[in-house]
Amino acid sequence: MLTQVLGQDNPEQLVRGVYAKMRSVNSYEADMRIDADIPMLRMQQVEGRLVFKQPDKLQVKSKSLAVLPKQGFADFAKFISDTSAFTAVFSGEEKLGGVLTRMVQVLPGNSRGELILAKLWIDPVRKLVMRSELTYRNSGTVMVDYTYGSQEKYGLPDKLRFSMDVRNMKIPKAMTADLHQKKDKTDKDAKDPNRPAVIEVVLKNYKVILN
Amino acid sequence: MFLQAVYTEFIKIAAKPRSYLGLAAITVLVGVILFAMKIDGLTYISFITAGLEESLLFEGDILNGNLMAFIILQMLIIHIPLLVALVTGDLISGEAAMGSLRMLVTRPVTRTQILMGKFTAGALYTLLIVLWLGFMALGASTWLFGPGDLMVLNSDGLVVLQQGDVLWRYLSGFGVAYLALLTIATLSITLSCFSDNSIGPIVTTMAVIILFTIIGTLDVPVFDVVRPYLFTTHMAAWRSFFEDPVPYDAILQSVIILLAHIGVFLSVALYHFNRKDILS
Repeated sequence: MLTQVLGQDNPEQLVRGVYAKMRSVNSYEADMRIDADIPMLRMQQVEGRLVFKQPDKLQVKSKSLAVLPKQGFADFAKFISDTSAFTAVFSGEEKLGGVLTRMVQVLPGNSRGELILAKLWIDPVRKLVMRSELTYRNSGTVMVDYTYGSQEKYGLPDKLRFSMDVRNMKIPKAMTADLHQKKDKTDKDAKDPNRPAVIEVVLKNYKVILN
Repeated sequence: MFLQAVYTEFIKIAAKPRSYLGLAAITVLVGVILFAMKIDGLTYISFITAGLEESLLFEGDILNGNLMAFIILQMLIIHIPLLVALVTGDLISGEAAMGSLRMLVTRPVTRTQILMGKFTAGALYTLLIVLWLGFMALGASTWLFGPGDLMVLNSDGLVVLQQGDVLWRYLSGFGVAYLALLTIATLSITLSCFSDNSIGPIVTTMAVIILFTIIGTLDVPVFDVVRPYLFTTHMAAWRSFFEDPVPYDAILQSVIILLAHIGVFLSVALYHFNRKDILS
């Protein structure tokens, strides 16, 4: 009954519908603002321009040094572009921000690829990915939350929130010449160094070129 | 009269070949570092960022003039005291060794004016060293590598500072670094008042720096009481300008401690020099 209300019975068809929406755009540009909260890396807000061209060419134009997730941005669209290259199965429903989504687990046919599992929370009515959890062979899991606005009809988000684990760095004191600096171990404001990295990308002023 | 004394002392410094050793050493060292970084800098940087780059993508040039200047400063600021002490440690004892100190004090100027003249000339020489280091580190690096955001390497992580937010930090950092080097210069001038040969004050200054640095680095509770008051603990205070947010209280504390050391060293030097029995 519920699946009938949601309108999709076939998970692969649902993923294909999402991709068709994404594929309607040949390329786009948008102003971007990046806010990063990464353990062991403190940086200010960065502004720039994001340029994307199908299938997976992503370019960031910024005067500042920008940090983006290595995976989970452009590679995801490429991954779902070939429906014969993966198997999709429904794994339940979940409400995200008031939207009832269908959870789809996507397993790649090629077991030697970098992406080994994708879990998608899809709004079946609007055919939009609301959340994705992408598990990579070498770099762990990247969770992405999508917020849509002006470009919803093309499946282009206004905001992406990436959350992932990053490996801690060990920087020798000799390399930093920071020999006498001793941090207060009781500093209550200090953030947990093992927390996941969070990168928020806000996109606006889209310039979309359709196929 | 005082300005004349300063001018004379500065001319004396300029006339000594060893005064140019510091400038030459900085030029060669910066040249070597820039050459090595131009060839292999990305390997050096990836050693630090490799862990992050497994999950993150850095867009933009990390290896730029601002980062190079920072690397050069943190590498050289440890060695610059020797170059300063080499000249300032000789200011009084060198005259004593040459036999010209006795003649100097017969001039119609007070001993305080003589010592303050030498101190001011030494301070000017130290300033020249810092300015040259700044020009070589920042100017040459930016010319070779271009401008860009600065990724600062701290022992507890990385801080990325945007290009427009960097110059004032360098200028302030150079100011505090100058104060640290002036402390070394004052220490060596003070030791110079107690010696009749050039080598003694220079070696003693370096020995004091090494001793205090070891005490400061040894993470044992017995030194916790003295560590905050050692001038060597505050010699790296210039780096604090590259933290975000800038710990102004800690910097102010470092500045006060360095100024206090300069005051104490200078007072000891004046006290001793005014009562010194000059026999040669």
